[in-house]
Amino acid sequence: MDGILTWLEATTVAGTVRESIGLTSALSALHALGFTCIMGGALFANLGRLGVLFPGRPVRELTVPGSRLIALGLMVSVPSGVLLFAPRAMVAGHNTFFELKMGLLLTAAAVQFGLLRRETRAIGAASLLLWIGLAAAACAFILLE
Amino acid sequence: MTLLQICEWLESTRLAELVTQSLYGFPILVAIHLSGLGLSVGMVVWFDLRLLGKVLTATPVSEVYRRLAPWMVTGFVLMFASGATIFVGFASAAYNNPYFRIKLAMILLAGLNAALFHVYTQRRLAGWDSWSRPPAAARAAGAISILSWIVVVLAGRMMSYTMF
Repeated sequence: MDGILTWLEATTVAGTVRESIGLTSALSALHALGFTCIMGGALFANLGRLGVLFPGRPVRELTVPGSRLIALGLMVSVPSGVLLFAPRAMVAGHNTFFELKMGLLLTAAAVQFGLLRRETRAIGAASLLLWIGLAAAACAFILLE
Repeated sequence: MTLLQICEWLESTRLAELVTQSLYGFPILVAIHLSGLGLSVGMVVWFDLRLLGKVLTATPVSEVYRRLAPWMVTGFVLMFASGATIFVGFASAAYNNPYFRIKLAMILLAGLNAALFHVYTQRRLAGWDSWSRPPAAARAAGAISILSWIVVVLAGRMMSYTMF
């Protein structure tokens, strides 16, 4: 694992990001925009599954667009996140909050998309908690490092 | 008193000291700010998409608003209260920061857009409340809202790289 992290840090792309504060801040801005989309989608889809938001409507009217917004957010956040991670892969890769963030990201995505057609309240509650946990771990990673 | 002098006075207050000097004051405020962002903008986007005729097209616009409002309002209260408190700690740096000015201008645009929608467009809501694709003025309000919040988020994150 450390071998991969060291290699990642040594790539040209990592060097380019490391040396440019403009590029780093632009990537970070995109990462935050993706975060907002993910949270918006997670709240809409899973409060829908919980029957809280639009109790009279078929749950799919909320889970389908909600999951789409999460997917859009991930398409923005994941590539920008990888580019932000690369220049400091060794330090970030060994940060507990970062490891927690990645674990929650994989679990939340698996529950959200793997169980997309499961419209039970339990799945909604689990999914929502996982996405909120991801947001909390992300905050802890950037703020308490 | 100039705006900059007001900013400098804000920075000399006890609240500013709490924001900048206490161990966890700043991280806690930023975490609240980001939670508020997810809740407010994350929910307002669904009302905007309804105005654009993209989601919940079988549900009347007024009902979509009524159901989303408590979440949006809670998010906006959290975001504005934490944002104003953080501002007190770094007022003059923020005042001089171009991204903060862009962010503030876009918040004003989003606010003005929402106010115009409520005062003018929504007044004739009864006529198009159930339309799956609302009239052009309502669709424009939805698009302006989404675009202005995108710029607010981008400029907000850029600020932290150019201020400290």
